[in-house]
Formats: sequence, C-alpha cells, structure tokens
Amino acid sequence: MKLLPATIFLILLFCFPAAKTFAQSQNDIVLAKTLFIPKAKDDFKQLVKVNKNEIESTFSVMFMFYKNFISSQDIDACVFQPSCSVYAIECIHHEKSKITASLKIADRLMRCHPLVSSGSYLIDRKTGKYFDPIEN
Amino acid sequence: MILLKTKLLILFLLVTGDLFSQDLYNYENSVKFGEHLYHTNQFEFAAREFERCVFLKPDDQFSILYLFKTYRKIGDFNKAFNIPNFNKFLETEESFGSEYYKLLVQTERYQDAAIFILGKDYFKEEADLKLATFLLQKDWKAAVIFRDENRMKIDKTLSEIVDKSLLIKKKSPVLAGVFSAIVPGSGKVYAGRWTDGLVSFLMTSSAGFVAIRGISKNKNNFYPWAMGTMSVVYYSGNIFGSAKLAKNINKNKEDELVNQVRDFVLRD
Amino acid sequence: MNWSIRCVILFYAISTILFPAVSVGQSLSEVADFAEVQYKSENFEVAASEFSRALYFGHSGQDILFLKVANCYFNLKNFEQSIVFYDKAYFASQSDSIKNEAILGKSFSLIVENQWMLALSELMNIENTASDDQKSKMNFLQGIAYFGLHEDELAESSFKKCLNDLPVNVDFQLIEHEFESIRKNEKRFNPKTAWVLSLIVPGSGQFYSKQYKDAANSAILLGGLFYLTVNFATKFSFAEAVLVMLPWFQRYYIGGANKAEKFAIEQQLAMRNNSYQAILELLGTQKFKESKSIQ
Repeated sequence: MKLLPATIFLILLFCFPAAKTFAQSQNDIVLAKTLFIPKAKDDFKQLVKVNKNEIESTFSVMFMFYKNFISSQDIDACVFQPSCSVYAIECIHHEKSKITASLKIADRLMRCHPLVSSGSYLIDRKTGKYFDPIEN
Repeated sequence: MILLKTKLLILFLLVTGDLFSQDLYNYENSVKFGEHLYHTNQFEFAAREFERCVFLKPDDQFSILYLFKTYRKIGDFNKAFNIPNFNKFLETEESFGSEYYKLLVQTERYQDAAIFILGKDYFKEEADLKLATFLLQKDWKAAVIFRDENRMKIDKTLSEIVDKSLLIKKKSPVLAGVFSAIVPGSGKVYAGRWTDGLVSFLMTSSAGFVAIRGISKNKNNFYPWAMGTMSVVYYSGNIFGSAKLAKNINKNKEDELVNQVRDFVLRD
Repeated sequence: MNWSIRCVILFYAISTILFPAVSVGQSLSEVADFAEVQYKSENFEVAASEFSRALYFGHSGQDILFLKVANCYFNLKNFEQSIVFYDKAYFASQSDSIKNEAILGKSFSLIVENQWMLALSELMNIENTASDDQKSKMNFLQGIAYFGLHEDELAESSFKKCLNDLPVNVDFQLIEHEFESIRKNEKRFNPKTAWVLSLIVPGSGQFYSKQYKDAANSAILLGGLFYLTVNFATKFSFAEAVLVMLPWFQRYYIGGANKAEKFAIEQQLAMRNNSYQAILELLGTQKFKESKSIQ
C-alpha cells in the first residue's frame, strides 16, 4: 500500500505541467536580442592612423577637427560616397604627389553639387549616394 | 561435410553482402552528390566533396575539373590554381583549357589568357575565344580585322560588340584640358558633363571675382588673398579634372564593352 | 542442418542480392545519425552537408531532413539558404507540425533580415493545430515583428500572449511597465520639438535631447559664423556678406536642427532597445522562475 501515495504523487506530478517550457530556447533569445541594438557610428580615426610626414599629420588634425566640430553640425549635403572630406584625407595620404592630391581635391569639390547627372557614377547601395573613390 | 558447406556459404554471403552494400562516402557516390551540390549552388560543400574524390582518385579527370569549377565559383582562385594534376590534363583536354581560360578572364589576367590560347593546339579552331582576348585587351583594330577574316565562325554577340567598338567616339584629354584653360569648365562641357562645367565655371570665376575686388579695395586684408589662392587652385584643378574626365569617359566606354565580353565568356 | 537455418540463409542470400538497398539503407541511416551527432555538438557546417547527403541518397522523411538542413543554415547565420530550405520543408511535408516549424523558422529568418511585414504574413499561415510551444513561439516572433514595425500595442499584446498560457500567474507588470516607459520616452524625446527648439535657439534642441556637448558645439559654431558675417559686412558690404556667408550660416543652422531631431530619434531608439532587452530577459528567464515556483 506504500505504492499508492507514490503513484498519486507521480500522477499529480505529470498532470501538473511542470515540464512545460517556452518554445523560445536561449539561443533564440540571444539572437533576438541583437535585433534592435543601435548601429555604431562611423569611426574616422582609422583614416588618420598612419601619418608619414608633417604635412599628413597636419591635415589629419585638421580633418579630425573638421569632422568632429564642423561637419557634425552640417546638413547632409555631399552627394558622394566617400564624402568630400574623407576623399580629401585619403588623397593626402595615398597620392604620391601632394600637388596631384590638391588638384584632385579641388576637382572633387567642384563636382560635388546637386546637379550631378545621374548615370555618370555608380550608386553606393548602403548610402544611396554616388560612388566616387579616389581611384577614379 | 554439410557443416563445411554451410560455413562456406555463410562466408561467401558475408563477402558478397559487403560487395553489394554501398558506402555513401565512396568515389562514385561522392561524385554524384558533389555534382548535385554544384548544381544547387552549394559550392562550399561541393568543394569538400570533390576534394575527397580527387584524394580517392588522384587521376580522375571528371572530379578534378569539377573541383576547379567549384573553386572558380567560390572565388578561391589560389586553391583553383593549385589543384594537383590539373596541369597534366591542361595539355591535352579542351574542357580543362576552357575552364582555365575562364579563370584567367575572371581574375582579369587578359594578357595571360591571350598567351595561353595561342599556346594550346586544341584552341586552333576556336575563333570566339581568340576574338574575345583581343576585345578584352582593348585591341579594337586587331579585333575588327580578325572578325572580318573569320566572319562565319564568330558568335553573333561578339560580332555585335565589335560593331559597337567601331562606334566609340573618344574624347581627347589634351583638348579638354586646353578648353578648360581658356574658359574654366568648358572642358567638362566638351567631355559631356555640362552641369559640372557650369558649376566649376561659377565657382572659379566667383572666387576670382571676389578676390580681385577685395585686393583692389584693400591690399592688406587676408580674405581676398585666400579667395585668390582658392580660385587658382580651382582653376588648375578644373584643368586637371577635365583631362581626367575625358580619360575616364573613354575608359568607361571601353570597359562597358569589356564587361559585355566578360559576361559572354563566363556565361554558363 | 535443419530447415529453419536453411530458410534464414536463403532469405539472407536473396535479400542481399536482390535488395542491395537494404545495406545502403543501413549506411544512409548511419549518415543521418552522424549528421545528428554533429548537429547536437553544434558543428552545423558538417551537419548541413551530411543531412544534404542523406537527403540526396533518398533517406526517408525528406521533410524532416529539409527542416534540419534549414536549421543548420539558420545557426550558421546563412539566412538566404535557410529560407530556401524552410520552404522546401514546408512543401515536402504533409504534417501540420513540421509545416508549422518550417513557417516559424522561415519567419524568424525573415525577422533577422528585418523583413517585418513578410515575417508577419508568413506567421498568418500557422495552422490552428499548432502545439503550445509553437503557438508561444509564434507570439514571440509576432511580438518582435510588430515591435520592429513600431506597432507597440500589437507587440505588447503578442508578448503578453506569449506569457499567457503559463500555469503560474505571471503578472504582466514588467511588460506593461516597459511599454509604458517607451510611450513616455516617445513623448519626452519628440523629434519635432527638438527640431523646432533648435531653430528658435541654436543648440537648445540638442540640449533637449540630452546631447550637451553637441549643443555647445552648435551654439559656438553658429555664433562664430554670425560674428564672421558681421565682420564681413563691416569690412566690405552687407550684400557681399550675405552672398558669401549666408549660405554657410544657413547650412549649419538647418544642420543643427536636423541633428537635434536625429538625436531625439536616437534617444527613442536607444530606450526602445533597453526596454526590448528587458522584455526578452523576462521571456528568457521565465521558465526557470516557473520551475522554482513549483518546487
């Protein structure tokens, strides 16, 4: 007769939905948690990490100042990707002759206007802007 | 006696049973499965399958060729170039040759592709590929001559591309530069971007205008000199930019045709 | 030697010769078992290729295998392929349960790719016969999708349903509280208010959005530009100053207002994310709480 209480206990245990768990496994939860995390902002520091000479470091300082205190307050006016300032700092760092670099930058500034004829550049998918890297 | 017979029979059955049973990882099944993976675009898995096939049968043409194709599809060109025994078949088999040619085109080694085609006997009759190499190297004149000589053998698409190459109107970078030196922005108008020309004219001339007026008013002021410098930089930048634009436009027109040829060669 | 042994041997002989598939079947099931083991030890790449092999050589239960391949791709975060295979599983299957699993997997893949509307329309196809677990997962996914669409009331009710079937009385206070704080935040950080404020007094919109550094930056920059304009006007002419400086002034003036608006939206989104994390935390830990309460 000792079996009876045990049996009743077991039956109760099974009737009680103790085994019921959520369908959401921990993996699902972990994946779902990543969905609305705000995106990290662009990091411009990596563009000015390596400076080969004084000219480059001067321009790097100017670039960081411009990006942090001036460009950050601007409207989204540049029609290109990379933007004119990034284009300029890349030119300064990658062009062998600084004169060519400044000519390229001047040309780019004159090309950056809202009347760009569509079709002359590829369109960058992420930003929807005209793609114009320094290699062009 | 009967017992011995039974034992022999059991032994026989065990052996034959093993013969009939199929190992899913053996060569034949791996090839079949690999082919299926290749045709359902699961290239990473297909590569693994064919790697095993090549390991099991190092001299097997079929799986070596498929492994090469798979690596080409993945875009792992180093692995494709380093497949063992591939070069052995490359000498004699046309299917290997055309795959190798495709890989060279895909990695933009157009010159190597041209040399490769000339060196292989089995490509002697292949007019399409030869014409494609001329076009890929932007040797338009040679392409036209070759097309006219082998008109019957050439594919229609390629022939049309040759016709298009005859219609390309090139812009002269020097002329564009000279135009821009005379009137800022006119070089860009010549190259076909009139909005760019207008804006650069306005920017250069307005900066120049402000500078000249400021300097004539007060020579010791800083702003007009800064404006003047900017105007000079804009002016020279515009000359540089116009020449570059003319060059780029020529290049883009040619590249468009080259891309069409690439698509033709790499079609599957 | 008696007849029965002979019969057995004969049967074995005939079957091995006539049906080599029997032995293939054995090694096929080995492949599937191997894949299963790999899946359990989270070697999803190997598992996916082995499940595909079992599929290709005709292992029984194609729908389940498709589902497993899809799960492998899901775990490998290759959502394009996982969607393809969930679809295959759905169309290969006759069973409602597997169909539901396929729909749930597909809609989760779509959710991860931020295709909220598509995910919701997939979830419409869940059959009524779905198990409690499946229904709970459906509500969970629906909640996320509505949350992504900023349909907060629908999201709230879905998340509540997700907790609803529990035997323990779960109070919805935390979920209600989180959604309440989202609503409050949306009122507190109103993008339009921030924009207008910045137009009236440059920098004040950013201040409103709690970006104090940026507020100072904007105010100083615009002040500087104003000073330059005045300077220009006194040295040259008013018309020239307007012509040269006004476009710049206007750019940074509007730019500052736009930025204040952006900051307000960012604040809202950050707070939304915080609340979302808290809700998921609740959903994730609920089952442990529940088992504790039973003990």
